[in-house]
Amino acid sequence: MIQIAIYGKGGIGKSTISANISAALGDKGKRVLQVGCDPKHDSTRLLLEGEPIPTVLAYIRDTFPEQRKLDDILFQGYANVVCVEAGGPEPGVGCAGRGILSTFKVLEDLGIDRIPFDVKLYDVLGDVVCGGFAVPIRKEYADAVYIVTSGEYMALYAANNILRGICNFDNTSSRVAGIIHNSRGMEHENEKVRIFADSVGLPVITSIPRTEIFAEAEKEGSTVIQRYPRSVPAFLFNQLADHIEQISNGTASLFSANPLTNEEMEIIVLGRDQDLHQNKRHSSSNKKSFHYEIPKIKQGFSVNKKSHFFTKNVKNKQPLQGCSFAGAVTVTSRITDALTIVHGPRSCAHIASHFLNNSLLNASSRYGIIPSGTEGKTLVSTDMDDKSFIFGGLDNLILCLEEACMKGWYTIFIVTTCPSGLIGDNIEHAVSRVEQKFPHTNIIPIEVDGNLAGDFSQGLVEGYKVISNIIDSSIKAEDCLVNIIGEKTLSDNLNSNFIIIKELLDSIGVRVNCRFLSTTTVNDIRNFRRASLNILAHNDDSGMVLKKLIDSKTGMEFFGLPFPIGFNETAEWLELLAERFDMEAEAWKLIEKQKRLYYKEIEDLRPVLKGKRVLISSFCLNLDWIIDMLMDLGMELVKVGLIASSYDDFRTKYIGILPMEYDYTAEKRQIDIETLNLDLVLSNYPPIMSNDGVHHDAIPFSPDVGFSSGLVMARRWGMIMRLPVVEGWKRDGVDCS
Amino acid sequence: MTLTADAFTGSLLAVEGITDAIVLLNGPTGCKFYHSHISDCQYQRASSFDPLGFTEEFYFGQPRVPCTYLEGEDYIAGSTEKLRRILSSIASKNDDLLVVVNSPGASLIGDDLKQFIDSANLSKRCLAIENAGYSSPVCEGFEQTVIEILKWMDLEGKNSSSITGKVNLVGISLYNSNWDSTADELRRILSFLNIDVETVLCAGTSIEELQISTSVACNIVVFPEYGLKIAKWYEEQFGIPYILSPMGAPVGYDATEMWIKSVASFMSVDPSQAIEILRKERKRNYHKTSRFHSLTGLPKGATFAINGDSSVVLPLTKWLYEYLGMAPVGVSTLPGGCSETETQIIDFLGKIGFSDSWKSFNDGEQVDVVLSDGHTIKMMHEKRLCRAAIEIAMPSSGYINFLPRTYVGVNGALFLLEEIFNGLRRMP
Ligand code: SF4
Repeated sequence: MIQIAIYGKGGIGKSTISANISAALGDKGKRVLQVGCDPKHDSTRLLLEGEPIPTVLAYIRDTFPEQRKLDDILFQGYANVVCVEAGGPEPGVGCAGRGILSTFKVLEDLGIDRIPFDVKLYDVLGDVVCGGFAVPIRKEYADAVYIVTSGEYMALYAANNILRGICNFDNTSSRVAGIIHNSRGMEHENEKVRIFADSVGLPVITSIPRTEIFAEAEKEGSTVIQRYPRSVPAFLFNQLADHIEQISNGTASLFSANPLTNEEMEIIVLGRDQDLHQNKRHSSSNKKSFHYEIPKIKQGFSVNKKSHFFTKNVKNKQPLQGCSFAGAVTVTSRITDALTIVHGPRSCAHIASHFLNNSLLNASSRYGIIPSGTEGKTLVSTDMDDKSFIFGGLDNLILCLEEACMKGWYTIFIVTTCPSGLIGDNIEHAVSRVEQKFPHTNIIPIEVDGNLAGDFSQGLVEGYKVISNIIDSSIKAEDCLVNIIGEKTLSDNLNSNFIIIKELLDSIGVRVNCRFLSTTTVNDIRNFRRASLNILAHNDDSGMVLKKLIDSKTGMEFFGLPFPIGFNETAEWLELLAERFDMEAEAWKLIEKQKRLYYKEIEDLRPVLKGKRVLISSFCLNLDWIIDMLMDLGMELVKVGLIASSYDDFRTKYIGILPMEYDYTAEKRQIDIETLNLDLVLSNYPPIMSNDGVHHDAIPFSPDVGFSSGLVMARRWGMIMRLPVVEGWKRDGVDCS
Repeated sequence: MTLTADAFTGSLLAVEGITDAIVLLNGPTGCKFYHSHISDCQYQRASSFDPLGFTEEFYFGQPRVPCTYLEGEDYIAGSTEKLRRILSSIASKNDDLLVVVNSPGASLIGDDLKQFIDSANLSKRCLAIENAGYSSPVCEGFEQTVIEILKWMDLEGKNSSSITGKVNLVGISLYNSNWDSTADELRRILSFLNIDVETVLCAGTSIEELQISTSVACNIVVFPEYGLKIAKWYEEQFGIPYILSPMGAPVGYDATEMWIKSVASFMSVDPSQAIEILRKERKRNYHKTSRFHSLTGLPKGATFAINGDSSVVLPLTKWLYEYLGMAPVGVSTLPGGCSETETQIIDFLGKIGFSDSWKSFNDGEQVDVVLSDGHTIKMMHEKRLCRAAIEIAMPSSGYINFLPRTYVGVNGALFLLEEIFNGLRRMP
């Protein structure tokens, strides 16, 4: 059995040629399978008396997997040639390349390999040699590739591209059979094709003349082999069939693919040799670069439109951590009266909901914060599958949207995933169709397209950006109301921290207007501007981007400090905030009370902890609350090791005072443990074993806020110092890898 | 209710279920983080969690599921370059089997993974799953990938009719709740029949065990959603027959007894010892049940809602109704269920006058006992919507088991009773 792929630019006549070759082979008694791999799905028409056949892709779209049979997609044509058409999506939707991949997979699954064919011929569109259309070139399919071209530049350009495709797929073996010249009757056409063929080192296997008999045969829905068996073209097709046989039995050669560069193409095929050199010489002097001065009046608008809010990894093109899709969903799913539709495969929705549910469950079991009625339940998926990958997923999206509208959701977000972005689903189209039917529903797409918009943090920002459009700018600010911005929505202590902050605010008579965003309603967002001040929860990279974003949208005042951790930060935070709202007296009262409690406990802990030598090894960017605690306890901080990449944003009041080491690693930590005579090592991930007499404890990634965060840690250290350095269970894992 | 995982996860975890195999995810870190996390939760192998231990390229601070971290440009230009690097880097670590699995986005690029593998001279230890079946049920991805791996291994057939006393357990995956305790419990039961388990396909299994998986008298299908196709494949390829208990998975006393009898009859062995053990447990626990019942009238009349694989839902619904007199107020099955089994569930519910309960599992409504995935049951428990919450499906509630716990087999039935009875002691 031999497998042949016939590639050529669309409209070049490769289907006519393929059908004639198959017919010729069939006449010679060969058992032939012809697979049309062109969304136009007319490759086999001439073998089937002009009748179209159902395509594989339409079949798999409409038939359940367990009901699929090979018989339903194979059709017998002239000379017993078995015909299959892959088909494809409507132009402009879905992914035709993915369709080819699926067709081959389905044929294989249904057992096409069990039918004993002598020749399998794939007729493939060669304009776009993307992954899907390149499937037939793969080694397990085509043993030999023929390229159909005319003498026109674009046809030759496509032929050269096909060679590039082959080269990229496999440049080790020779698999190109040669060129089939399908003449257009142009002047010097033969010569052009020959020059190209010579340049790429391929033979022109045959030149099919342009003649009326093709059109005649076509009118009757047949090949020239069938209709005009004694014609010159029929003779040439028979020769081509013989050539395939020769390749099959090893008496004809195959060649490797040696494509030309674009420049070589221009020189060789268009004869632009001289012009090109001249142009090159003068290019910089002759060509004027384009410049357009933006009129002053429009600049403001233009800048606004272009103002992007990029997170660090996206800006610096570092490997993306997570996907924007998950980030955006993390934000939208915190709005309690809005539904989020995940437009993508089920796995994407599952992944997002998994982390969301985990955080809700942990918050509940660890902090006693029970999820509200809708929390964790505002996510649905359009379940994009292979069918949607090929034909586009808009139908499902529309269905899903309509269902949501009928269930009474008035605000619906659509967050897009990688596949939906890659196939280019036109989300706006779906939205406008559904909004016509449900004019009172606000459907808001967030087209992050998986990780095409960036990483997880970028997704958070994109989510916030779109949601901030809901803010009603006409609302007037009221005193003593604040918004909380950018809490860590996946942290277990999200809500318990909020409760602490709320208590602090209550103590100075300030109330929370809107949490942007956590357990928030659409109405809270609309009324965002009722607050007179925004409090940013975290001033890390994504927090700062978010601040910039809200600032550009609302121009509202931001409080200068993030959520406070530990006694010192909390006292300062409360004092400044109270000053802002003229509530100093209330704040001092509370701070004084907390101060007494704090120093009382410090005194109790000092005897155990004073003078103990401590090393910090951390990914965290805010360590001051721990350092404050160590200082107040009279402990000796020997070194702060900052794990690589975190220190760009490292903020501390101790800079220059304490020994810091950047690019800290686990190996460096081990050396320090062995040489620095330490008592306690604090790390984000404490090592399991400690064979050096040093105690280890963990630094939380997401610490609790408020006056007592440091004390809670200090109490633990005081306890740990009295416990065994290595607990018994750790020895059980000595030989575990 | 929880949004279930799909075949992509099933496929990745099929590979992760092989002790000496590594799954390489050809896809973005967005897909990687979760799968490395879930693989590590379900089958812990690395002793540390510290990202500093996994700083090399492709790992992103996690111990499992290295990935090509596909991004914008890779989708246009293809993943060739990264694939080349990841393959050579991971292959140089050890001799483990390597399986490349495409993410949904990567499957659209159409990179010729086989060719990369060939050109890296790795075709003897590496294969690719180009399309894991996105949005299809998780069990489908598991079965497809296991079969692909078995095909690729080119196993040698043995004459199963001449082999006695050895079987494979088919249809247990890392994506089954407490899969390891389930496998252990079934091994234990089979040992009373003098039957050895050669291989569990593919959950905690070595390549060597897979290689000898054809040297068995038969395959026992535990959860057909995850194993029937695999068993049929063995039958087609090597003539190895399979056993499928008519009552579904061995869940509850009755289905477990039926399971034992089916295996014994097929293998022509004496089931009496195993059945004796089961009946002894029934007797032993009768008094506890009777005391509790005398004082409270329960568990009769207690309500339950169940959502799980159809092969679990059928025997469990029947058992809770028939043995404990509990009322099925919500019964649903997960995607990928067998239509025949579902029909049996519907018929059963119809027969007992609970037709309305079919497909009406509601995680927002009060019920006495809920049996479902770990997230749903924990959420209902936290919201005090139930008195007993029993995990019978993934995702896990995160409960850390030290004692072996499974809802399958004899010990599984005891576990179910313990949870139900102690749950019913709580306030509604
Ligand atoms: S959006 Fe893309 S990266 Fe994110 S989970 Fe889905 S497929 Fe993976």
